[in-house]
Amino acid sequence: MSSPFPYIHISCPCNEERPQLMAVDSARPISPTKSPTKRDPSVGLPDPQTPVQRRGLQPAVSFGTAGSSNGDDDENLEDEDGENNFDPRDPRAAFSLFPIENLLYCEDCHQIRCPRCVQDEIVCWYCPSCLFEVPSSTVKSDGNRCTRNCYLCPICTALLVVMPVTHSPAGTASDTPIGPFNLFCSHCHWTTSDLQPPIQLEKPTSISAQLAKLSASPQDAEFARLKQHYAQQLGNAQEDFANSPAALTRLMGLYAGLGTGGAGRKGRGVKKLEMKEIDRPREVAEEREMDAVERLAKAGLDATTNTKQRISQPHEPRFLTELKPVAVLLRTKRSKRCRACRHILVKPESKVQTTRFRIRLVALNYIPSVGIKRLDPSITLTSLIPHKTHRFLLTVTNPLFDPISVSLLTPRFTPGTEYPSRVTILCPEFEVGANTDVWDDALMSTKPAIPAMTTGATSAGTPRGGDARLETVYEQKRNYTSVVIEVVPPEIPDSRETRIRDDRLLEIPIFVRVEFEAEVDRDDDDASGALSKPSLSLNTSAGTAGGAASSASSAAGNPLARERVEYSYWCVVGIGRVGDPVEGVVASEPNTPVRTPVGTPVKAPRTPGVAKTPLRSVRS
Amino acid sequence: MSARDPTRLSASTTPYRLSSSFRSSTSANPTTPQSRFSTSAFSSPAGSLHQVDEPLIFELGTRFFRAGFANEAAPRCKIGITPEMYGRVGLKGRGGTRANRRTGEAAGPRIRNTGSEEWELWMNDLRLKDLGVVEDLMERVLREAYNKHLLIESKSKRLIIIMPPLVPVALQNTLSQLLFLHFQPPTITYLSSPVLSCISAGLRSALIVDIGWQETTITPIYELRPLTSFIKISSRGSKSLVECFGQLLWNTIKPDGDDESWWRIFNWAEVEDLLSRTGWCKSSADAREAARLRARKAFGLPIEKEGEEEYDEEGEYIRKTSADIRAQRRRETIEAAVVGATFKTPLLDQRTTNMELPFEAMSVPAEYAFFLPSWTKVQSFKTAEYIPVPSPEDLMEGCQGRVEYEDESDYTLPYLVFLALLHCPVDVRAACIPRIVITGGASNIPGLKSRILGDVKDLVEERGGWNIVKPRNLKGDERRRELVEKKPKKVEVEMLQSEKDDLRIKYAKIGGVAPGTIRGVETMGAWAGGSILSGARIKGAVEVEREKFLSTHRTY
Repeated sequence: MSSPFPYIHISCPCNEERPQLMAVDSARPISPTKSPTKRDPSVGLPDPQTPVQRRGLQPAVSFGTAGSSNGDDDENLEDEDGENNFDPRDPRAAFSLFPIENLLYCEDCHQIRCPRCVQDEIVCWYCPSCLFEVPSSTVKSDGNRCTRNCYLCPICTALLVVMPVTHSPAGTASDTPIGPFNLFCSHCHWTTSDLQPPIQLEKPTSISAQLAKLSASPQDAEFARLKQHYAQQLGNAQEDFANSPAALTRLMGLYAGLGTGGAGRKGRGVKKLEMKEIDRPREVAEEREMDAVERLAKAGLDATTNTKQRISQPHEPRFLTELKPVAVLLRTKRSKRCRACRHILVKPESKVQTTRFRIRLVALNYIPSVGIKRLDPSITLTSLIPHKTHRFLLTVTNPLFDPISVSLLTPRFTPGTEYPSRVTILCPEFEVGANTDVWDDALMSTKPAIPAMTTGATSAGTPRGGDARLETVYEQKRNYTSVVIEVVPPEIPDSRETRIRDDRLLEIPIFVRVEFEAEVDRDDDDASGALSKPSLSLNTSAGTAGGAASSASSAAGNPLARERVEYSYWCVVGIGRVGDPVEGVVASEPNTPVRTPVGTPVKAPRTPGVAKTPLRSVRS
Repeated sequence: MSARDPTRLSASTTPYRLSSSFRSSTSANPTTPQSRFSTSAFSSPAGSLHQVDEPLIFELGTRFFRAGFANEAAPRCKIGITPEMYGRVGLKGRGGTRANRRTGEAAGPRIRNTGSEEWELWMNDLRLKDLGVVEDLMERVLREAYNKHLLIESKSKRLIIIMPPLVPVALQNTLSQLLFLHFQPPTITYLSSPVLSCISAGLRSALIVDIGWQETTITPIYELRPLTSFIKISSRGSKSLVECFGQLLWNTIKPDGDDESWWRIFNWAEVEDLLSRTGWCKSSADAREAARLRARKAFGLPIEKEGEEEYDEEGEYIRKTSADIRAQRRRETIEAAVVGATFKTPLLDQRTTNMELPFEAMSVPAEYAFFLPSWTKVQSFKTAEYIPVPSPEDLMEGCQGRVEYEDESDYTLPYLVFLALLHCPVDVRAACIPRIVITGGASNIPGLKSRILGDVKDLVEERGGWNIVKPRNLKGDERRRELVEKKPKKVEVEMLQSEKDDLRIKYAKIGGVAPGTIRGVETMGAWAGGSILSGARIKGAVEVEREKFLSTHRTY
């Protein structure tokens, strides 16, 4: 039922560029903003029973980096980033979070591209069932559906097969099956003979043509009648307009002005533009409707179509016996362009049968992927114990051929909920090695050892050791680095009675910033720009100066050919679900700094007041 | 604050800051020309009049999105809004409105007081919903329509969008913006759905009763012009219909003292599905009879026996006509039928709940939602009294008793239709009375259309025509007799009949019905109307053009 934990979703940066307020603010007295912190307190429903005035106790949600070495930076971050925290519980967040597999990457913008920020272009149309390519000229006239023999069961949407109505005796089978034929669903055993009237085909081939002859619904006939009526009316008027000798003068009159033309038009127009309504419009007849009720009563529930079946049919039939076999909907191969720079991100081979791509810039190959593991196998992800420090291993894997320096930032308390969990990344800044060939490690013995790695590797066995060792990375291998992340879930009172939202779900937003030096592979790069650049980027990335220096030195050979690249994105780690409190685990942990136990609201949520705040509390 | 403009997605706003040289290199790279549609800005209106390609037609409803091509009888795709659409890609099982009462799992994050909002694209009260979410969801829906069903490049097709009559401007603005930025159609034309319903009924003047999801809108149309100042709105709609049904079901199985909301127990989709499959509506005569029996019960009078029906007041035996016999047989069929429904109820002790309901019960939600005063307390299916017996005082006073609470949502639907007609200018009324078009989702319930029309007929008869002054209720015994006694069967006077016939013949000659005849007309729905209209190459009076819109509607 619930998704397996843990999961990682990455927020596409297009999220941040969306307009947060519409142009017509006057039409919206309450303007919902994206970030919950921007909520106007006077507008939101006053809720006296909000259990934790979190913002009151903790002035801003700050980025908790365990290493408090650069205290000044921390302070600065606190001020700014309390506003900009990504809230995975925001309703809009659901539309910008994707698994990394669904994301693309634009090499020119150096930006993640989600399905929303690409533009699709159709390469070819084909039927997914018979893999027959349909030329673009006939796609629309065929109704976007396969015109060969692919039909789906209207009840269970399995593929229908052609079967003779009468089973031929066992001996005489095979060669020439004798008609009539019907379409048979091998999954639910529905056949077209079940219909009212039954559909039986003479030939086992060219089904579409045969079905088209048989199935003309009354709605289609009515539509044709209406269309004909209007065409007639319009046709008459237009015929006059086009053919009459007065047409030219009338046109002249129109252009000449209202004086002469107006009168002429008036005299004619009354006669010409008189539109009539259709003869004999279909009237509502009580008798017919009551007959339908009677039929419904007789047939019972099982003879009626459910919503899904009804929607998939053009005229929404009420009874199962009125369903028609559905031709298979065509599919397309599409190439995708970046909406910003119009570069092609994905381009499949135009042949239907091949699954290869000419161009495919998937994000998996460009951005470091984050993974999370339990450090302690006794942790059950579906019921995390409140007040207990859970340690997880956050692994950042580098798909690039350059070493990257990564800084991970996370709000100290998970945002968007009244019961925030405390999250600490023990070593938020580290390096990840290049994604070199596996054998390089073995062959290159001269690889410089990174100082952090040595201590990190030794401390693997005792993660509960002193603070100094915990601030190092836990494990560092060829192209991935693991750090420890500590999560202390709060005690969440039984919110099952209120259940306004899933407070027990524990999701941690992490801001990933990546820096690396990439080779400039562009010929048209002008050298002057490349010269002035490194100093700039070093300034901006003060926090990771150490890492930058080391990689800069490695690239010192030809500084012109390399450029410093930095990008960042939010990702959301769904760790698990907070369980019920366990005896003996209490709020204060020995090795956590003393803080107000904000995660232990005691009384409020049990009261039904929370449930009765219908409007704004959802977005709190 | 920046919009999702393709040109604004570029490096200036990206966190990826680099580089001097890089920015210049982007522009130096060969790129596809960006403004492919610069021609449309300069093309003359005649060009679009005779445009060969037909537009796409979108109909935007609260629950369903329909899209298709012009000149086709039915939309190519209908996409319903489900809670899953609000969820994340690649994460299943979230976004449900219900949680397991024991484990507390999987409660969606977006629930509000009715539980229906995850099945809706927007609410009319825009304060309750983040427009950004609406925009995101619309984008998702449109993308699915383009990529999965229409299979067409969005940039090449003009759009015709059919909107409900009273759609918030903010929503329309959001939609235009979204379309022009993400899908880039050359132009958008907005059409109003009642006019199109009128067209697809083959009429030029009509009273369109659109029983929508959130509300019912009654729009008079005269010569294909909507008379917007005479629109009547009622909050009685399909949503209240489902809500009544859900409440009835929950009342049936509810243990005493449990004040859980029904939509936490049942799944909206299941309740709605059952209702759309088996829901029906009593005929006007049956409903009147049922109301009379309730009135008898309220006054403590005995219920007459069946046999009594066959004699009128003078004790004369009235012969049954064949229609009567058929109606009787139908009534017997309906009484005998049962509906066995199974609901998933994870919050209760049993995982599933089976209910055996009489078929008659399926007509009750429509009574509550459309035909009973809004203060009627919803009962249950436990006993045969699905509709509560009103108090004698209420009966005696009629609707006037609670006049201080009245607004248009309080009126029953037939009365609102009557009022809508009554308040129209007299010429419009004359055109509209024989052309009442009932459309919208709930109008598919068998019997509902004729019920509304039948009740309107009764109302007109009761009030004695279209006099704006309401006659006072009868007092005392007379009022009681009016409520309790069966009305005598109308035996029309011969002469009068023939007179009427003359009138009918006269009007049939000119081609029409006699004025004052209440007649309902079937329509094919607004989408089909749009299809006909755009198929006839009639250019919309107002086209929103992409360049113009984007040049004036910058949101930053």
